Amino acid sequence: MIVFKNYFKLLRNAYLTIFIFLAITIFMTVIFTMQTPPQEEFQTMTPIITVINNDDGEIAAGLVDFLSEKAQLKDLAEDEIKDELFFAEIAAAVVIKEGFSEQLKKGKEPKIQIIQSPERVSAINIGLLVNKYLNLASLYLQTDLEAAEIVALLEEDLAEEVAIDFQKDEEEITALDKTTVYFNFVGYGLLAAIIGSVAFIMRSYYDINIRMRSACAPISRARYNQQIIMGNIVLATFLWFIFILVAYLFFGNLLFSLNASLMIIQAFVYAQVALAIAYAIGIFVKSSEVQNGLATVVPLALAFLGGAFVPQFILGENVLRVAQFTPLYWYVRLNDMLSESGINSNIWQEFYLTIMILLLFMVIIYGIVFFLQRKYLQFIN
Amino acid sequence: MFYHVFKYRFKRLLREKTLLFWALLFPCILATLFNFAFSNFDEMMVFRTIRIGIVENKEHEIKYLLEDLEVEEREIFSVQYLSEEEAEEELLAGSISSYLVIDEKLKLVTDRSGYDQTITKHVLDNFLQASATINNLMQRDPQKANEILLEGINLDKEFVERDLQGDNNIMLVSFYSLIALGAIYGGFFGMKTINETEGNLSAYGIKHVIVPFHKIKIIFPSITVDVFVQSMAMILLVSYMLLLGIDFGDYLFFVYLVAVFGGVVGIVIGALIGLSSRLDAVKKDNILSAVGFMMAFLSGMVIVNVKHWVQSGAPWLAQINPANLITDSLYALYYYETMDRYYYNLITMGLITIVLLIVISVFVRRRQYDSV
Repeated sequence: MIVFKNYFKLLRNAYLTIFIFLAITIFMTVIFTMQTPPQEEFQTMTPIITVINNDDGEIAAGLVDFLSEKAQLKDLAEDEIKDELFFAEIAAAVVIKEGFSEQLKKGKEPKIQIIQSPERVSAINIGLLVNKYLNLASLYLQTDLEAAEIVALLEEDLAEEVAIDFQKDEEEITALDKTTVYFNFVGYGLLAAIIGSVAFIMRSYYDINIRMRSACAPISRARYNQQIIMGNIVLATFLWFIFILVAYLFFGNLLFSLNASLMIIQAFVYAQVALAIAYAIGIFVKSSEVQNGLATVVPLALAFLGGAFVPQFILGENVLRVAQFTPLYWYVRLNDMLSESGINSNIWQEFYLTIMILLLFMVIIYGIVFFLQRKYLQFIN
Repeated sequence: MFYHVFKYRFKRLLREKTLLFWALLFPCILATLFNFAFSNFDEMMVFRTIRIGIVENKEHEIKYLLEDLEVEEREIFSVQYLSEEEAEEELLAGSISSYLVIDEKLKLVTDRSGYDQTITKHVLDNFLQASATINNLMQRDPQKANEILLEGINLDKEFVERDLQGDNNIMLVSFYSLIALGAIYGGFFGMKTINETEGNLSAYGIKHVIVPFHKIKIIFPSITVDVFVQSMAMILLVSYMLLLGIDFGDYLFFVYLVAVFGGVVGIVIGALIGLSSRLDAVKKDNILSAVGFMMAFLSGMVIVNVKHWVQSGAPWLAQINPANLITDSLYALYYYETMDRYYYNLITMGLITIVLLIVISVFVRRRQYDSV
């Protein structure tokens, strides 16, 4: 097992690379996972808005109170509104002009200004709320009721709401959604870390001088390759284990649920595919600079195409069609399916299918690598 | 002398494939990937007709409301009438976002929270709330209530006046910060120049230190070549993004200007990192690579809103981050009507460049090597 032992000596030089890849991936994963909003019960989406109320009337004040129940109000200066809208930090800015309540009382149709980005669904929602409140208010205003009384009645009326039947185990969904985000990212992280480290070591073994030296060593080529691949598998498993350990720190015992366990198993199989890709790059790309470039570009490209960063349903059809020829697409696709609580026979079928496809990717990549390697050796001889 | 150094340095730079990869090819590859990934993103946030089901166990006027409701002349709902079992299947398959069960009471069944479900709920709430208002009116002032009913209730009065702020494809910020990344990665050129002029960093440096010329006669043409090549790279990068269909607004000249100027800032940053320590070239490359990525990250390359968070939470950081200044200039050109913000950013970049050049000159000046 001399080659196998030597593998881990070489690995010492790759500690920094592995650490950087792991640190960056974990940092990005933490940010993305934290970004996923919690969904513990049926929630109406509460947009964040800003309200500038220049009117001192009671109806206007009632409207602001109503909006503060339906949306989260954010205090902003007028010159901050434009930037906040662009970055979708707020859905809209509602501006109530001076004398609004007075005009409404007179039976006119004064306007509330809603500053928004075009066609934003959250802003349309705010417009619907404003119109609802004011339409109901204008009905009451046709009577002799006092403004304060009208506001109180509106509050009572607006408390009427349709019954909701939410058909999921909410807590599990929330946690599974986050687990899916995490594991989708692991698809990128594993690939980047494995290519970065394995390709680095492969380069040392497949250096022409080292190869000539080992060709005359008393060890068969098959055995030599076998030990290197064993070293690779141990390394890939170690990296996979680190990602699972971080996942455990994040999600605790949820990781032992059936859905999360299937994600973990899939990640292990996927790590072996990533290993095959890294092996190919390590063997065929001799220059360290080109290898570094590929270690950055290949995982990024596969992650963008496969939907590890951006959900697959956002990607265009053509992109997905191309992505089907990459392992990450299948990996992310199954993770997304596993984010639904409960496993039915359909999902089991998808699970087996995806594992088969990932294994097929691995076999094809190794097949091509060994075929070309043999041809190359024949060429040299 | 100038021409001689310029010519050979230019030839050598064009052969530095790694440098060209990081400064030009890498941002182009990322731009292509972003383009794939974000091409449908804007449509996701735009309003679409909401598909819902109705399980009608009892006749109710709510269904007419749902069928006819429009916003900006587009139907809000596309309604399918289904049995309870069918509705459940359609919901599970995701072909409807929710379904309404009409019995004695109304019940909305759904399996997730989203805007489609929120709007559906609001519309149904509207109906129930309007009914409550009419009941209240009947109780408090029956005569007036009857008058209103006879006249016909109009709950469709428009009280909202929309003020639409220019088209805002938020994902453009990612592309803008990619230009910033390309600009900062121009620092690899600046770093190379410093490596090759300092005696303790490379064999070229040793040669340059012992030739009987003032150092500035070698540094100046070398930096000029860097600026020339980096400017070409930036122009190609912006042109490539234009080919991809990235929207930069109407002032293309100013887009190229800030990209080229950003490239100059990048070269200066690279030169400074090159001079800052005696680490070997590979480690410095890694430092620049990490610094550039971090700057671009803070200007919104990976998560667009990071740019806004930094701008509002730590404005000083946004002001000293050249990548953010480049991104912000492009954003201001695209989204703002006036050029004030653009010029402000450009001037800040100019000031940063001057400060960095002063620091560099302090480092470079009178540096001597005893052992060379």
